[in-house]
Amino acid sequence: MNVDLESLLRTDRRIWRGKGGPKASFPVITSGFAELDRLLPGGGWPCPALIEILAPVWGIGELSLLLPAMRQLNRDGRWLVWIAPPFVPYAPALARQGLDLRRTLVVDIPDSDTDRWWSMEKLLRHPGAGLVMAWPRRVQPVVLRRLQLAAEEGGTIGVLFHGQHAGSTVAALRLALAPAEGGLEVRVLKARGGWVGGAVRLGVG
Amino acid sequence: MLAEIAIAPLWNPDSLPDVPRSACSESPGPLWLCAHFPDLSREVLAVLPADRPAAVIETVKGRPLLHATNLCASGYGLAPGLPLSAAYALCPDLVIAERDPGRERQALERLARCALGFTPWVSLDLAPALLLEVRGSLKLFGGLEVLTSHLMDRLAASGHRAVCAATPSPYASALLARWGRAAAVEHVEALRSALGDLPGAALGLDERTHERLLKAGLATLRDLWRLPREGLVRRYGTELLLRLDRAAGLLAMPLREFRSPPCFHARFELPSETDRLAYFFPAIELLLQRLSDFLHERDAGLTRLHLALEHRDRPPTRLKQGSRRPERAAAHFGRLLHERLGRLSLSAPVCAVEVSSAALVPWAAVATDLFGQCADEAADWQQLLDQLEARLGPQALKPLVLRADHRPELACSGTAQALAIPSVLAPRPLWLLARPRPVPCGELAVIRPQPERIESGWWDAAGIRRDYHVATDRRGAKLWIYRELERPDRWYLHGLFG
Repeated sequence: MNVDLESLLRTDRRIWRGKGGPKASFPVITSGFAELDRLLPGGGWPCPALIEILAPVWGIGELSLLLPAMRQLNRDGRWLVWIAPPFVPYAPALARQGLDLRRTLVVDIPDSDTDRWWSMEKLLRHPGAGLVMAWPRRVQPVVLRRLQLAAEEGGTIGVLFHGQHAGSTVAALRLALAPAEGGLEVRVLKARGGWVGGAVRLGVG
Repeated sequence: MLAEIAIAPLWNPDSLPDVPRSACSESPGPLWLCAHFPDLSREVLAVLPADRPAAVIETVKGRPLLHATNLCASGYGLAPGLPLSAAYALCPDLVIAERDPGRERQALERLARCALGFTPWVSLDLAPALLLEVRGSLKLFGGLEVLTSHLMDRLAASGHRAVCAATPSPYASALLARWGRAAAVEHVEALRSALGDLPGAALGLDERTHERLLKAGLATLRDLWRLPREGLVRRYGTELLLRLDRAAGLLAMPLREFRSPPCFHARFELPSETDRLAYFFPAIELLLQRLSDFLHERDAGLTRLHLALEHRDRPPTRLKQGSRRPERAAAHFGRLLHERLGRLSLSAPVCAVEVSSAALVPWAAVATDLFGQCADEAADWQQLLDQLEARLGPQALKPLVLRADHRPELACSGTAQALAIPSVLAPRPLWLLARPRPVPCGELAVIRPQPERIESGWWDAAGIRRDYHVATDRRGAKLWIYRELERPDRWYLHGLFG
């Protein structure tokens, strides 16, 4: 019985090794903040993935957190889609942040969860979309699973902005935001392929 | 010198009269029916009254001249070609309208589609007249007279008076019809005697040649035909001889065929009435497949189609389905229609479905890769947007627009302007509230005490005079707030720095 411990640890996916494990390697795009990149497993936003962002209130810098990624996706010729945003995305400010408004689309959906998830899944499944954002009130786990699969199929990033409470999740990444002195505090609640619980303070917002 | 070279072959006695004579004796050549519309320019202008003197005017070399007059106006001595000032002198209460060539052309095309019921070969080259090749249709209609009277009835039913003449030469038919002679000549040999009485002006030569002919005492075509051809060419040019030969049927005249623009229309009657989409949608798919075949055959695409769901005792439900780029795949239109019909509540059961095409556009093929997948991502994206629009409604997809306006709410609405980023250096929030909301000022901590004053729009109804500040509330959100200059005690929330 000569089992090589190293090879077993490497090949058997049932064994989870806390903090000391090898760095997970999956495709990422940089978040644009060096401190956040160090904290996130893989060194950036996981790329075909569903990301959940919890914020106690809108207007603390939740969009600014994503702006560098939006800029990069726009540069690659991919679309930014806002599905039923709570307020009007203000075009002059977005343009000044370097976003390409010709590749930005707002989908207005009058209060129908079915339509919202249908549109989001369709858009995530399309490789032309880069980032698809939605602001749901609550999500069924089965919907999350579908969105996650759609994002993986299309190679896109889906972002769900929640209020404070949220149940269990299958999303690749879940962050909690809080306003902090001179910026924004980002806490990783769940991350695929990495250790969780870290927090970082960014000067955005 | 040139003229001599041009007529040399015409003088060859072997080549000339052989063609029509042999065609006539063995198999009868084509018979051209010309339907001329003398009042077309007047008939297409519905504004002109019939019971008062009225005329259509046309500007020739900067001078308005009468182009056509009605019967009432002719009673005053008004005739086509009269200057407008002279016409007003004769008849002060003349009603006039400008000639509309576009509408005349449309009317003529409509009439040509009517005429396609009588023969497959129609030409519009000698407007305002239709030329129909009717030799092949004579047997079906039972002779030229019956065919002509059928055609006249049909044209009169669409509101146009026509003069019809039929001869073996298209040009001769047009000359006769234009001169108001409703003649029928079956054989080429009889053409000269039928046309002989027509004045030389009928040939439509330029003014100078026409005057010279009159001075030489050559008033009718018969006079011209009596003269030696060589002398005619030397004195009056080849154009005159060319027209004479065309009129006599000695020279063929090339004509372009009128083709009716293709349009798809198909209907399917359901075996039983139903209001279940699952039962009647296969019929729509069948029609769409036929539409797709129709488009493939013509190498065309479609950006809009019409669907009608017919009900018993009720007006049909009509849907218009657009597409962002020309499409011809049945599956694409099927997906869009299914999405829309699934959300439509029908007022009554459907008994038949009908699909028709709007204008066809040329098909631009999309590059596909080796495995037949749609490689053109942009085209694919447009299809996805079509699908979203079909389900969510035409207002659902909103592009972000930029306008050069200092008022924050107007800088992002309306139609986009092609311009650079506004050069305002003051902070602007990523979120804007569609309607500013009053906020109690006690909860706010202003972090930018220096206000930004926006005072603009006094020239229209939406003028503003405001002082904008940046503040945080007690939950940590960064706000963009303002107060009106007139009422400094009330604060409004206008944006969030997301």
